[in-house]
Parts: sequence; C-alpha cells; structure tokens
Amino acid sequence: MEKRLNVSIDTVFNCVIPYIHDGDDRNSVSLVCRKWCELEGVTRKHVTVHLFYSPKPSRLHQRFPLLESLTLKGLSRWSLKKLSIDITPWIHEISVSFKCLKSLCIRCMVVGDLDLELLARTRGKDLRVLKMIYCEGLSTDGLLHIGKCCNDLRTLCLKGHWVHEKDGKWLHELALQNTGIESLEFSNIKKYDVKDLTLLAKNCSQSLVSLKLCRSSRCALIDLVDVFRYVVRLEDFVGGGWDKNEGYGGFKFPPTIRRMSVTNKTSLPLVLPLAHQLRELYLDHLLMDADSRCFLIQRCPNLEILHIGCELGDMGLKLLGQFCKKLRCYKTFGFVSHIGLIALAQGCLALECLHVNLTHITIEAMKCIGTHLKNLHDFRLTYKHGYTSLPLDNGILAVLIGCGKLERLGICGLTDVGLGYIGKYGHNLRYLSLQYAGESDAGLMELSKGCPKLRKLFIYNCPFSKQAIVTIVFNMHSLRYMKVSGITGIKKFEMTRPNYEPRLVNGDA
Amino acid sequence: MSTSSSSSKKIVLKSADNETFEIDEIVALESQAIKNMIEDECADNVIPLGNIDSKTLSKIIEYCKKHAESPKKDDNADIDEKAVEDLKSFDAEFAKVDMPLIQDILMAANFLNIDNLIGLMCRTIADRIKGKTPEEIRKILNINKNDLLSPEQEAKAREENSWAFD
Repeated sequence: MEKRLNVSIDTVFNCVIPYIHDGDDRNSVSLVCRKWCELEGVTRKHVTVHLFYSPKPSRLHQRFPLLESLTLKGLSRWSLKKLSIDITPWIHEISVSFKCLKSLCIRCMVVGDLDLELLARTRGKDLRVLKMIYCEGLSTDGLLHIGKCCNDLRTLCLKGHWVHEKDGKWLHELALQNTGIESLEFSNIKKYDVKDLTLLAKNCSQSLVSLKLCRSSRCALIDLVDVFRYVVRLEDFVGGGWDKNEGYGGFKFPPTIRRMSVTNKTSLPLVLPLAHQLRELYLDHLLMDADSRCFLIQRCPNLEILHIGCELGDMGLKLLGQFCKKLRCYKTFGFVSHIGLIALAQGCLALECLHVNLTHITIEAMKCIGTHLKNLHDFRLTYKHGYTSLPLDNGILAVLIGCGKLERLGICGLTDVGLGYIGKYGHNLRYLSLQYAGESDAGLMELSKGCPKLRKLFIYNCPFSKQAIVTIVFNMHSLRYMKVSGITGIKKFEMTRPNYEPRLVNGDA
Repeated sequence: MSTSSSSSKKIVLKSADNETFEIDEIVALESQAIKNMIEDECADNVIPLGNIDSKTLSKIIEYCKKHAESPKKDDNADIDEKAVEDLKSFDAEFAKVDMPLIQDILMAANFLNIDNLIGLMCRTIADRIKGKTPEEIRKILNINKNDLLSPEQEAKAREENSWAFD
C-alpha cells in the first residue's frame, strides 16, 4: 500500500510540475522531498544564476541537467567589480554539458572574444536566443564567431555595453547565415555597413519584428529605405539618424510599426500617420521642441511605454494624463513639478513604472500617486538640487500604503521618520535607493527592521555612520548587495555576501 | 460490432469495488483510452477499471457527461459564450473537492487519458501549492516523510534557492 501511494504521488507530481512556472514555487517544490528535488531539477527549463553567490558551474548542471534557457547575472550594472567573476568556467560548462540549451542571456559581466568563440563553436547551431546586456570586454572579432556559427538565431541582443569595434564583418556573416531572425539589437555599435543590414533584412524579411540600432549612429534613416522595404512585419524600430539635407519624399515606415524612436522635428510628418497605433515611444534627443513633443503625444492614444530624455514639462504630463490612458511606463530625465505629476497620476491609472525628476514637489502630489496608481511597482523620484526643503515622510507613507505592489523605489528628502515608514510598510521592496535621506543612524536602523525582501540597497549622500551601514548588512538577511557613496569617512564602497557573509568588495573606506 | 456511435449505445464501466455504471457511449468517448478500446473492438461487454474506486469513477462520469453535452469549440466556431462560461463555472465547482480526491481523480484521468480533466486537476493542485512553503506543500499533498532530503542536502538546496538560482 505504501508503495502504491508513493507511485501515485510521483505520477501526480509528474503531471503537475509542468503547471508550476514561477521560480519561487519551483524552489519550494524542490525542497519537499528527495524524489521531487530530482524531478523538479530535470524538468526545470529556465534558471537565472546570480554568479556572485553561485556554487560551481558543475553544480548547476548536476541539479538542472536539461536546461533550455539560462541567464547568468553579474553583480550590478553599476558595480565597480565586474572583473571579479570569471565567466569562462561557465561558458566551458555550457559548451560541454548543457546540450539542450537554446537561450542564453548574460548580464553585467566581462565576456571575452574567446568565450564567445567557444560558445559559438559548441552551442552556436542550437542557440535561438543570445542576449548580452551591460557586458564588457568583447570586440567585433568575438561577434564574428557568433555571426559565422549561429545559423538559426531568433534573437540577438547586444545592449548597453561597450564593444571594441574593429570592423563590421560580423553583421555580414550574421546576415549570410540566418533567415529567421525576429529580433536584432545592437544599440552601441556604430561601425557597420548598411548593405549588410539590408542583406539581413532581405534574408529575414518574413521574420524580423524588432530592429534596434544605435540612436546616435551615423547611418541616416534615409539609408534604411531598402531595409524598411524588405521587413514587412517590423513592429519595433529604434535608431537611425536624421539628415536634414536629404529628401524624405519616398521614405516610409512599415505600416506594422508599434514601437519607435523619434529624434527630430522634421520626422514628424512620417510618424504622425502611425501615431494612433504606437505602443512604445522613445523621445530622447533635443532636436525636437516641447511643442512638437506635445503635439505628437496627443495623437498616441495607445501609448503604453514612453521614454523621454528631454523636457516634456507639466503641460506634457497633463496631455499624457488626458490622452494616453493606457500608459504603463513613463521614464524621463527632463524636469517637471508636482502640478504635472498630479495630472499624470490622475489620468494614467495603469502606470506600473514611473521615473520622474522634479523641480517642486508637494505631499499632496505623492498622496495622489498613492491613491490612484494601484499597479505601481517601480517608482523613482529625484530632485533637482538632490534634496527637498520639505520632508517627504508623509508622502512616502501614502505611496507605500497605497501602492502595495511597489518593488523598486528610489527616493530623496526623508527624515528618520520616513525611513521608519519604509521599514514598516515596504513589505515587497526588493530594490531601494536613498539619496539625501535620513538624519541619523537611528533612521537607518528602523528601516533595517523591515523590508524582508530587500535585495539591493543604494545609499548616496546620507548622514549614516560606517558602523551603522555594516550593522544593517548583518541585520537584513535578504540583502545581497549594497553600494554606498558620499558618506562621511567613506568615499565609495560596495558590499555583498559571497558565501553568505557580508564582505567589502571594493572601496576606500 | 459496429464502431459507429449512436446516442442510444451504452457502455458499462465497472469500478474497483465492483460497482457498475451504465453510460452513453458519447460520454465514454471523452476518455481517449476507452475510445481506443471501442475502436479496437475490445469493449463488447463490461469495461473493468480495477484501479478506480466508485467514488472517483462517479465524479469522472459527472465530468465527462457535462463535457460531452457541451458544444465543442472546433465543431462550431461561434458557439455562444454562455456555453463556454457555463463549462468554466462547472469546472470551477467540480474542482472544489478535497486533495485526496483530486489526486485520485488525476490518477484516474491519467489512466483513462482524459486531457481536459488532467489539465483541470493539475491546475487545481498547482494553484493550491502556489506561494506555499515546502512544509505546507508536504502537508497539503500528504507526502511520505521517509523520502525527505537529509538536513545537509536541504540546507544546500535552500541556500542555492535563496541566493544563486531563481
């Protein structure tokens, strides 16, 4: 009977496990019993490995031998210590052991050309997705191996990192070898031949949906006429400079476009006919005046994501609140005030991510965010002079209580009371950045009693002692990374927990 | 024997505890396994189901009846939404039973090869263990304690889970 029971629970588990997708749930399931640990391990398709805390690569393979998708993460995009983790043993393990791997994403690491060569040679034929985000150390020679060996890619993304650019041969090879690329991004590479991009567009004309190039590229939009002619299914486009002297009479964006960057006022006539269908917009160059930006925004009723690297002003936020009811994400570097913020919060109830720079703020405006933005999970508020004269304690209290899903918070201008509120109500916070916040160590101590899920903490220009900062690393068990600067007696340092013990990884404290 | 199914044709199923259930063939066809038996002409008399008790079997028949009566999606592209909603709420009610019975139904549905029912039971179990700790999951599913990880293995996996592998 006992045996029958065991057999049946195994059958049950075998049936149920494909229905458990969430990483945390899978982790819980893996601890239920020995058999389940094993079964969960062999059925796990995707794992994100935080390399700084991870055991050896062989252990990853031992536990999850049939991974199809793997993300390798370094410490932090802003970390000073990218060099401290060697990715080569991981690439070796991937090349030897992970025969089912189809998707690899590497974040915030140093990746050399030899690593890419090994990866391309051994896994290149099987890789469908390769993403390298905020990585450094590679050159176009390394990319050439990817171009030559990866002949069935769907996604190639090289984002936010510096690549030593020798030549553009890699793009030529990539274009020759592939016919099914759906998404291509190389936002920091400027040196390539537009003929190769055109060849790629021709060979992948039925598949290419997303193309993101360097926005400050010398390659003008007008040079991409042929590219756009081929890619009949293109939905995302970022990049392409705008040459005023060229005639744009015959130029057309593909009618399927949903996401794009707009860099120049003169491009407006081409963008306007598509505005009603745009879901995502990058407006981050200064070659467009505020009136043109506002004019465009009013015509984008389906906008969900807006990145704006320039001034939009309170008027712009009012228009967003009025016309862009579906807006989920708004990130800006331009300045606005509480007036615009209130209009935005009252109008765009679907906002999940909000990054603002303020010239003036009121508690009222923050209460308005707490009242209206129930889905907000990422909120960053920075202030023109770094700090406010008005403490925002009651404001942050309203945001924390009102926005229960908040996971990422960047804030300035709090007293010790405000820090205490973060500790008390920041149940779901995983990321916190404090700037000009707090009055004494007591505030930081209050904060450290709560925030049970906090993983990353950034402290800039706050009046805490070194001793207090070290103490909270011991107190907050979930904390895995902290970066501090502008503290008396400390210039700059980072702390983390390799082997689960706090350790100073860099600095001159 | 003819393999064509008419609404009047009956199939008899016999449970492990020797109870018999006479059902319309169309209801029995919800089970791919029984369908195969009928097509292979091995279902002349009574189909004995030696590993399914009568309580479980009657639940399964209840499910198959409802689903056999409902219009199928692929039969008719524009079946009215009410029917879809009706079936959804039937499924939701159907799954409101205790965990041992859910597991028995899942085992039986697996044996009889009834895809929709397997999916329904799996989703139900997955929902019930969502967000739970390992201890709670053991309790919910009544896991045999003989097979627990050793304290060292558990500590190692726990550390890896919380720090290294997401």
